[in-house]
Amino acid sequence: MVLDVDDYISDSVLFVRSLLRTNITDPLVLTRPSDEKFILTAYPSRTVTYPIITILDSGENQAELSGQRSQTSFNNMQIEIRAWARNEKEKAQLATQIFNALRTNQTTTTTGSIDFGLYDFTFMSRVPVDEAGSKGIKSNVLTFSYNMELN
Amino acid sequence: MAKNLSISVDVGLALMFLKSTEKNVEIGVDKAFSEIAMFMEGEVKQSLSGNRAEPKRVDTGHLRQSVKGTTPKRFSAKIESNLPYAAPIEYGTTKIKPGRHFRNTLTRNKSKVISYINDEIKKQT
Repeated sequence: MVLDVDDYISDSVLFVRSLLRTNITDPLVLTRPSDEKFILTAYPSRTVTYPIITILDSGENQAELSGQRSQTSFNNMQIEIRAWARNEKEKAQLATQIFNALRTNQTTTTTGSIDFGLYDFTFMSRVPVDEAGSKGIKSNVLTFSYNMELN
Repeated sequence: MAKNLSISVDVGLALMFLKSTEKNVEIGVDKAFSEIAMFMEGEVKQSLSGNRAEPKRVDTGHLRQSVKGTTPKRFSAKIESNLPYAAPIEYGTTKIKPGRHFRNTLTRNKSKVISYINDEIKKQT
């Protein structure tokens, strides 16, 4: 699979989703309802069973200029991956698994992010956002960025 | 009869000039970061007020008032709010839609931030 220049935004998000689906096991793999997903590419609009992971496009900038008379663009795309969990332990475990899945799958031949067309993996931040109360959903918002060359 | 020919080059003045330029650039860039902090603080406040792409998020005005731009160390600017509900508003929860005021402000103004630094370097060299 290689980055599709005509659809690179959603293509990048879908690549990250596929990478996480391959590398992270759903803690509710045996009990999650069949019409619900563990990894989503939007915040859920209906009731879901936690834990879940959401992946969103979080904006883009031009990383560098490509020179006179060149139509190539080097862009930097930020991706927000959020681990929504039932407790602190699960929140930390999912965040760690997400980071490690992306970090260790860059140079893998054919299935890695570099071969796909996403370069310069950067871990930008992790922000914990917890809802009030012991039953409140706990989450870690992780932001990553990738550079890409669009010809 | 050949005469001895010697050439001496003294780069002391040139080095002094380069050192003073380097010092001026450092001071200038540091000043640029103070300007960036003020500018970005204003931009986040404008975003919260509904004057940018994000929807208005002003109820009592406490969040908007709490946004502060600082330069905690050299060559860095930080825009922050110390309110406990600032992060849930920015990132959203299961009940609140994410505001994205801080992050969108950064994405929108990245080139402007770079131009603040470039302009200051140009002024000093």
